[in-house]
Amino acid sequence: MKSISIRLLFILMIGAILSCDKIWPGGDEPVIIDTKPGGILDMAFVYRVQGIPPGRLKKVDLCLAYTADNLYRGIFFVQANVSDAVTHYRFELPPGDYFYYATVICLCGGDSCKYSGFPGQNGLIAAGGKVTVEDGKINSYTTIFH
Amino acid sequence: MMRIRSGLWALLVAVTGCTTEIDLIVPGDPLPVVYCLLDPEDSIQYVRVGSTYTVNPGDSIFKPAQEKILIDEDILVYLSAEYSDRQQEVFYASRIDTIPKDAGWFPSSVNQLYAIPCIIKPNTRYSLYIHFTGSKRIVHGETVSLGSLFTIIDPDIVPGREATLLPGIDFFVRFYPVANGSIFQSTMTFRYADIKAGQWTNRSLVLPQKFVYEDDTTVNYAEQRISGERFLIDVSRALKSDPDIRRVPLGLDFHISCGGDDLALKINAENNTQSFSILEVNSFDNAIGVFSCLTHRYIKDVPLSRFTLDTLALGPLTRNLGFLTAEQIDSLNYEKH
Repeated sequence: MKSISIRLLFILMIGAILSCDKIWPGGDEPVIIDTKPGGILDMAFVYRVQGIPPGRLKKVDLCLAYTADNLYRGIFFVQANVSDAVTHYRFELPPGDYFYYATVICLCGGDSCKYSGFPGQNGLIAAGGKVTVEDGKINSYTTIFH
Repeated sequence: MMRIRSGLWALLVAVTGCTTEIDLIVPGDPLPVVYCLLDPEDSIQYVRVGSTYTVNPGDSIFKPAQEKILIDEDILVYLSAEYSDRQQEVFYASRIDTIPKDAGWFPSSVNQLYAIPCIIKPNTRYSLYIHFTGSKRIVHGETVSLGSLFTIIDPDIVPGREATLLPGIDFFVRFYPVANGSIFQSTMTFRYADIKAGQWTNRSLVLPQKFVYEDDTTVNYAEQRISGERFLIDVSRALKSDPDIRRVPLGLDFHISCGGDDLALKINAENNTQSFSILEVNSFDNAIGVFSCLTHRYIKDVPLSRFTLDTLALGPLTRNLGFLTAEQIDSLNYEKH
């Protein structure tokens, strides 16, 4: 009887020790294993247009399409909230090829916009291109305005 | 003999101890309550003055009388600007009754409100004085005005730029940091129209965001994140489903405020106050209240992206609310014009 109670106490002690001190295989913090494949697309939205005063050239949008056909038809699956204070925009995406579309607008009066290659005041110029997202990587691209 | 005397003493203490009532709360002298938030965008500054009153514990429906919350003696209110050690300027206040009091718990007939004609200069020390001429008391507080104009970066009204609020895509309000202004808050108003039997009714849903504290003026900008998912949840909870109502999102309005360091200290202290704490952050000697700066910016008519319109119309959280899709809105606008 005495040996049974000692054994029971021993089992309880082991149980208490194991329950109080959880050691995770990945270190101090639990590891969340995300099985969904994906990478990060980092788009640097930059433009260099000569002849426009600061503050009169603004970003309008940055969108992504699945195919080139969708890009030309304006069918996008995501749109970023663009800001003139922010250069880099990140998207978490499954691996694959995508097509970006970025536009800037000229707000100058007079002919300043025309001299700088815009159709006129409130005219847009767009940049677009193909980008590839590889699994588990940060894939960096920069917008190219011609 | 000694034992009998001790017994009598003990009896006396016990009898008197049992019959003496100790009031834990006794009415004290009322304290002045002063609120003044200097607005650098306004040419008139306002000071509201009142008085504390005692509430009996447990009396949750006690409503003070009008005279209990006003100062019942003549007071002189003035503001002093300290431009340098040798240059000061004093601005005197006059009592006004042109601003009606908001509806609420307190008596609504009158506010004790004073107006001071004064344009606030940046990064200047201001002192507010309230001189109680009858009792010869002075309430005094100091603050330093905001160091620069409050400038908003985002949202920026740019032709073609739209706001997207979706699960995973948040919207950011961004602004330049302000010296001596360390607390910010933005309130987003979602405007939409209800269409019932061809009748349009414009409505709005006000969504105040949390406070942002930023006292580092060396950062390029400070920002407040507005969660896209939270926006959809708030809309789904606030709007009622009605099969006879179709809805059209009209856009977003933003009201962004920047408060001075003293206001930040006060709000921060009140948010962190522990239960039963007697600590009180005050801007004044001999009074309670706040003396600081507050300025506002308004950005109106930020359009919503087609992604957001379609998510409101078809997304799992809001699809029962009758929002039209972007395409349906295009058709509706085409028919209207």
